[in-house]
Amino acid sequence: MTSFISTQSISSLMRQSVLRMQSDLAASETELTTGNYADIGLQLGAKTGDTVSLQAEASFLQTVTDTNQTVGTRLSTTQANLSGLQTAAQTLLDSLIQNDGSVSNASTIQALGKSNLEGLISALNSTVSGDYIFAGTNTSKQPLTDYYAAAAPNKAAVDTAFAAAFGMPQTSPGVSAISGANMQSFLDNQFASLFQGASWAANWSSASSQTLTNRISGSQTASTSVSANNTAFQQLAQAYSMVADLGTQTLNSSAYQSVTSTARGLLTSAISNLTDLQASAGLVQSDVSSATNQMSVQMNILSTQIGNLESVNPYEIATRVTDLKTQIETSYSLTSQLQQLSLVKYL
Amino acid sequence: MSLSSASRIAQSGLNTVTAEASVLSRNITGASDTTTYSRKIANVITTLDGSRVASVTRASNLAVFGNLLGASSASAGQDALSAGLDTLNQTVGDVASSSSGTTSGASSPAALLGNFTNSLQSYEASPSDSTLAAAAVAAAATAARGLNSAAATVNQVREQADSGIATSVQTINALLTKLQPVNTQIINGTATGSDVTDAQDTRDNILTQLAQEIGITTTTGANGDMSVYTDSGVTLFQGGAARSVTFSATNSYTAATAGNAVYADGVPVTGTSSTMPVTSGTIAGLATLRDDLAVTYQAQLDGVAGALVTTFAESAQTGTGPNLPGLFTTPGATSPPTSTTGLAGQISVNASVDPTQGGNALLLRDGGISGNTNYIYNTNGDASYSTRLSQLLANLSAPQPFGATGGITTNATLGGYASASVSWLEAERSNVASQSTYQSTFLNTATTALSNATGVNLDNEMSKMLDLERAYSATAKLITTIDAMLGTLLADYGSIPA
Repeated sequence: MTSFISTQSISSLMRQSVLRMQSDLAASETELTTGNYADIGLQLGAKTGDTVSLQAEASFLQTVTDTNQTVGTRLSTTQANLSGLQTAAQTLLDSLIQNDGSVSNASTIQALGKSNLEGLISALNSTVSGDYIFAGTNTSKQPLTDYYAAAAPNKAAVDTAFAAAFGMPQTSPGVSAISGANMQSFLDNQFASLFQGASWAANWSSASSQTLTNRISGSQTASTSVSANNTAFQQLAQAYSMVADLGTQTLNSSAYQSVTSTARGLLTSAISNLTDLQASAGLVQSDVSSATNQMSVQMNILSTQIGNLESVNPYEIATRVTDLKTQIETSYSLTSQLQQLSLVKYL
Repeated sequence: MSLSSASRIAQSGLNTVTAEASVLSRNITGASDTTTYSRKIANVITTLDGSRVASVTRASNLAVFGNLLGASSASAGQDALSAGLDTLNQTVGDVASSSSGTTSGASSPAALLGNFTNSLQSYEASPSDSTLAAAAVAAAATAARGLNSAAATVNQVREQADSGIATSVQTINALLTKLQPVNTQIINGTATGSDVTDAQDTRDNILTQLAQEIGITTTTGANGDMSVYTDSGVTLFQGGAARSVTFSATNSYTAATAGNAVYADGVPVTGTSSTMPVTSGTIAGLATLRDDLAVTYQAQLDGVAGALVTTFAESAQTGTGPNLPGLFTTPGATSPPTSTTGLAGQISVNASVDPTQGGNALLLRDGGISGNTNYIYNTNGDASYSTRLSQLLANLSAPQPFGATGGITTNATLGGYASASVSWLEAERSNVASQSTYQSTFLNTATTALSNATGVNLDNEMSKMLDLERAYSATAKLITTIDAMLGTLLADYGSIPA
């Protein structure tokens, strides 16, 4: 067989291979600079969707991690307030126990009750970035009405109930005539009902009983706030206003005894309820922080997986670039040498 | 034998050598011709009166030429597909993860949906924050615009494919018209025995161009008459007459537009109605792009848009009533769409919830986006009401049904479906790109093979030229010698005694 090659194909072969190597070189240089494939879609084909969903998942976890910060701040503020409230309640309870119903320190106890009531209202009205954290979902409204504000409905309701029961205001000197049994009956019935159900909602609290719910990880949601409508707060409000605003300085010993013993009972129960609240808020806090840690681990794994899909081996690419350069240079020198190889030159 | 006959033979020798030299110079000129110049061969015969060039033929190899035509068609078809898919790939944008692991640089519907989900999650954590609400609505609007522009890109690809087919059909008709006189010239030349090699080269050139537009097969009769058929067997050129190829272009495409078929000799050669569809060439590639790939991708985008409208639809909270479009809607819609066709192009964010259009972003939390108060979820007006937002997030991460026309999964989460759509597109692109590389390599090989079989080697022609030069000098020397002999004869004629 005779071999025959056309002049055309000698030069075009060289041209085509140089073109191909140059475009390979350009792609390799992009890969070296970015560390990723030059055209990820082309390289991964049907697996491209995987990297897209992995990225979406990673960025969603990052978002949840960020929102967990907001949740965490709210929970720590809640915890701090609950613990402050518990300390205050304990102080009043201790005083009540020490004085054991003796009227001699009634003024001090009354002052303490008043300041505790103010503290309770202020604590439950605390805000985090403009949201009232104890307001349930109704975070745009201050949950508790200030008892000592002008024309406060909760104060008015107490006054009305007292007047209806005893026919005189709390400030009247006549309150010293109220018997212990009558006072006990008032405290257990008319007065107690002011701090529950519809009266509580109408006069004391505009909070929603529905607490905030947040997603704290890809799959987990948690209740992340405490509502001012919780029994613990109702009991505290009841105990404090009982001590502070039922004319305790002027009551006779027997009626005063009824007030203090009822307040003690309420405080004991409220403190125990507060402890429960703190414990459950603490549980959510630890859930949030473990979910955040968990997500951080997940994000690391995801980013490794994304890297596995998209990244190139820089050593491999560097070697390829060197090889391509050598090949292209060889082609150039071959092209020029082949140009010299022509019979025309020798004629 | 006489001196005059020797002189005649020497003369014919000179003629032959000059004729051969002329063929040789044609070859040297044609050496750099990148089209289909084939090596010409002068066939010399010896007669009683010396030698002469009986005919000029050309080097040809029908099998290799056939390969070249096939490779041209296949390569052109894949190139057309590849270019179209690269345009569709613009809708996906950059899929590389940025250094922070987010997809902010990406423009695919999947990435935009991801961004929107993240904004919604941020808002769900602080439902009282109207800035976050506005951010979530803005992300929703970006996702809707992303779908709009993706749908527009798909329509644009289909429009370009359609106009590409129209151009291609024009080219085919022009080439077939050019083929007619060349073919006639070859038939006549073959009958009279004249040199038809240049006409044959021209015909091959026309066929090569034709093959790029539409896959063809050819047959040649004994008289040199050629018939051209599409690769599916429809006649394009037969009996010296070109058949007409017709196509009625569609200028503007929407999701519901179906493109017209290309007819060759009255028979449809593209589209589903075609019983003899062409399988290669630019026309086949563009038709696949216009009627198949782009349509499927459109259906996927529409599926995403439809699922968004459904996912964010509001149900009646007071009394009973049909679901109404919520955050995502289409202009003028008063009920969720019954068909998803064309939704991707129309989807938008409801004006009543979009602050940039004078709406209230907090409706995303409260419900009642449609304006009907029976559809308000947050009946107490609580600032941190998150139930509806949680519900929306849960809906987003729940699997839902998708139409089968998308050609991918029919039950997936919205994000999963959008990712699957990216996978589908990139798989097609990757597949077509590797086909395209393969076909273009094959085309190069076929071109080289044909060039080697029928092309010109300059060195070869040069050495032939040396031979001819030598032959010419020898013949010239012969004539001089005969002339000298005749001179001798004439000068000495008188001195010879009778």
